[in-house]
Amino acid sequence: MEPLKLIPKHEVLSDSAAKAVAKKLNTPIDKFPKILASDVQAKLLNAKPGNMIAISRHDPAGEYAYYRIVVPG
Amino acid sequence: MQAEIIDHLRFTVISPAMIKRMSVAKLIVPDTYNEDGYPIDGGLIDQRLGVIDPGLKCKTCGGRVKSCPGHFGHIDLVRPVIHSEFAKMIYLLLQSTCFTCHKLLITQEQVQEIRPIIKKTIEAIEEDEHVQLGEEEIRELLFKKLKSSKKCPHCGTAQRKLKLERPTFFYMEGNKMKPDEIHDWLAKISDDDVRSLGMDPEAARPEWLVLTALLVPPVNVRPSITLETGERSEDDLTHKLVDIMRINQRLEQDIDAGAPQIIIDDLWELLQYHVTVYFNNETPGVPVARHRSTRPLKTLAQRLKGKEGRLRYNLSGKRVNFSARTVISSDSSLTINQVGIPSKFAEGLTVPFYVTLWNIEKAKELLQRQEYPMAVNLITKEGIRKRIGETNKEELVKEVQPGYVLERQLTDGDIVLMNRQPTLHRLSIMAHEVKVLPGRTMRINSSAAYPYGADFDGDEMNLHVPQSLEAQSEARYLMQPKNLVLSARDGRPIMFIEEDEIIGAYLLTKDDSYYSKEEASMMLSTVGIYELPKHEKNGTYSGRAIFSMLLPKTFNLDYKSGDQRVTIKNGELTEGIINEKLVGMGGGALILALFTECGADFIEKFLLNIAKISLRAAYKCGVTIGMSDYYLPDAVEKESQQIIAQADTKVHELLKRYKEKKLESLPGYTVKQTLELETMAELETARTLAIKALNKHVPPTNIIKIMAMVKARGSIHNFVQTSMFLGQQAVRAGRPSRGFAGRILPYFKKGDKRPEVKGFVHSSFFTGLSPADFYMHAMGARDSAMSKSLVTAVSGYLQRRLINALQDIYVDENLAAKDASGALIQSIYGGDGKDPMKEKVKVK
Ligand SMILES: [Mg+2]
Ligand SMILES: [Zn+2]
Ligand SMILES: [Zn+2]
Repeated sequence: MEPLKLIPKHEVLSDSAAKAVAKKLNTPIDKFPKILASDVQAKLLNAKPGNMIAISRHDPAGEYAYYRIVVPG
Repeated sequence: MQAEIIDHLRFTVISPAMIKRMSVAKLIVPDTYNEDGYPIDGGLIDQRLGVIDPGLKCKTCGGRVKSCPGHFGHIDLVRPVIHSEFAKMIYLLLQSTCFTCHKLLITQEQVQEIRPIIKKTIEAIEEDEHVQLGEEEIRELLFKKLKSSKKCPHCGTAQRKLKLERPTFFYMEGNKMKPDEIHDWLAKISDDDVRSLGMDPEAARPEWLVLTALLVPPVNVRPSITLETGERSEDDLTHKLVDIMRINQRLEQDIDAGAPQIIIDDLWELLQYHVTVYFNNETPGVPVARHRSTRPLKTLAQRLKGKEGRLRYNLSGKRVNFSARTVISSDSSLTINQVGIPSKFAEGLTVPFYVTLWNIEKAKELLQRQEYPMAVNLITKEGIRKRIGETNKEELVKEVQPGYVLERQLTDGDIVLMNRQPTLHRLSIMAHEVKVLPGRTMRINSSAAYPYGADFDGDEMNLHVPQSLEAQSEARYLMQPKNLVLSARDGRPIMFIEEDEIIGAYLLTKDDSYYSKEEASMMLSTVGIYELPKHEKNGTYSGRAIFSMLLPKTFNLDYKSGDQRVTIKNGELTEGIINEKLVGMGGGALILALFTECGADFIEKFLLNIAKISLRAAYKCGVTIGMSDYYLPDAVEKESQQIIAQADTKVHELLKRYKEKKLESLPGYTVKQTLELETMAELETARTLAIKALNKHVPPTNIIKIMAMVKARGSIHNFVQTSMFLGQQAVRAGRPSRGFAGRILPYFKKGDKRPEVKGFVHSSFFTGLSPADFYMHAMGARDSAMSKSLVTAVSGYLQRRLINALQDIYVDENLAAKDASGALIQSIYGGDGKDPMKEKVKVK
């Protein structure tokens, strides 16, 4: 399936990369924003609960990564 | 000593035993004072309940008004009554228990069993949805199960149908249940069953929900007021308690006299009513208890509830000291950072002066002073506050030493907070430096008024004087307007020049603006500059050169927007006009650049100077309007008529095409809607044409046109409305359509399709409106006024909720946005980690 143009790029991070992000942001995993495993984007990436998804957001200010932790549901 | 920290609070139901333990007096007389004006023993003002009379002593603790905290009394109710606020809970308890054996309509084992079953059923319903049931939800389901139980599993009795009629009436199979029956039923429910239902029998036994005794609050909770006439006026609670006691007494007498059951039941219900209303005079389904004056009584719930209740009025919001409020006015010689304080305020407000080894001489001088900047109070090392007066002055001068604190009157340079309501954002409270001035108003620079949302048509503002040094420096660092020139929203200036100042800046920097040496000297001296810029060959000075004197020599700017171009090279304005896009509401590019490059102190000075010098330029020109400015060349009137006639014919043609079924519908619209849309578009064209005509025929020297063009005040469309024609009036975002059958006003013929019949006004404000035109205009005006007030209320509430939801989000040291629990909101604030209030932010 080809992702829609309007949806920013979603990407599953490896566990070590996720750990590095959590450390960089000085935030425990459970304090990250969440995304349901049943979310279309999570399904598309075959992400499992506990995985971290990086979303490249395009704001007027520029491009930056937004992180979400996959939760069951 | 470290204060104890409250871990938790627990609210429980009060028991009759507890009431009796708390009570110092059983009240028996339904009255207050006797004929001699003395409190009756056993009455509602019994002296054992405390004192409110300064001359009297409390009969319980012996204390006087100040020392006696007040004591509770009680009333024994002859017959129990339902506590109306607990009626729903009582209903639930009755439904859950057997009416003969009073056991839970389910076995203890089943209670344990039911949990997984409920869980499973829920899971089955929600399918693969993963739902975790909390205690609350399980209890809800338990109640549901209990309510539907038809037969008692213990004694086998079939359960009867129960009904609750709000607020306090219970029925079993259609027969009224008396509160004493209910009380006895509830009393027989075992503690274990109570626990199964999620109640703690230690804290709230079910039968306590039916009142057998009533706690009477101390008199200082419901003080009586003595009017000037010597007449006593009692508190609403006392009034209601008198009612309760009176009925209680009558009920007792009637029961003792063996009165018929109907009479007793009537009195009983009346007692129930009074008690219900005593707790909450807004109980649904119950008539409101009123005063003789028809004013509703303010009973217990009303004391706590709502905006004027104890919580929101007295606890969340409190009166503060060191504050002042008055009308504001503008002062163009104050900087945005200053505030003009009436001398009377300065005399009344104080700031602490901390006496040290190094300022003790100054402290002594302040102490000795006889007039305005003097010390008012002295606080010793022990914290004892002494008022400084003529008599003790010399004594205090000898006493004062480092460690003491004086409270001195407010003087120039002190920091104060200004606030205007509604306080919508952080800029609604800013810190200003005091400048004591004569007069009775507080004065601010008009550029500082914009972030407050203030104008000077009678607006009032509040002032607060921060007392601690921490508060003062926090105010100086975080809240001074000079540091807050850029908006946190988009990084554009929110303090700039407006109206007369904008037109002045235009007049000063336009191409053909030259001033004589005298004029240039005068203008520059008003901003404290006593040098002249380079003059032209003929000895005159260009406005741009004069303006350039306000800029630092190192400043450069190359601004482009549309066909406008402004160039500043080495502090010289070489090209372009300074308009609102540079120094006003339309972007403020120059202010933004100066703030980020030259800093807060420079911008404070710059805003003051540009306003002053622009106003000077406007005064030189004499910006003023009169009737003659609205009186336009005949050509305009001619074109007006043409435009209107043209619109008329165009609309007529549209209608003809519609009738001939030649009108093609727009995508997504019916033909009729298309006709309406195209008619409106045609009438809109009339407005555009009018604006064009006005621009063509009105000379560029017309001041109204200049004001509109430079965006100082008004728009060309306003000018069209005053001098050409008003145009289409809108009601509910369309043409007016309702009123009389087939027409809006009886003045029109039915079925008339001319544009003016549906709110297209031909006359102008200058010529005056015909009655029909006036009516159309009034319809539009009323509609916009109504929707405006609705929108402000709705958006205000939305704003409040957003503020409450977002208030404790902060940016941490890694520039990540987090909330109070540490949860990540955004990995980098704003997507770029930049603070738009402090630096120029590029927006793609
Ligand atoms: Mg106002
Ligand atoms: Zn007392
Ligand atoms: Zn039973």
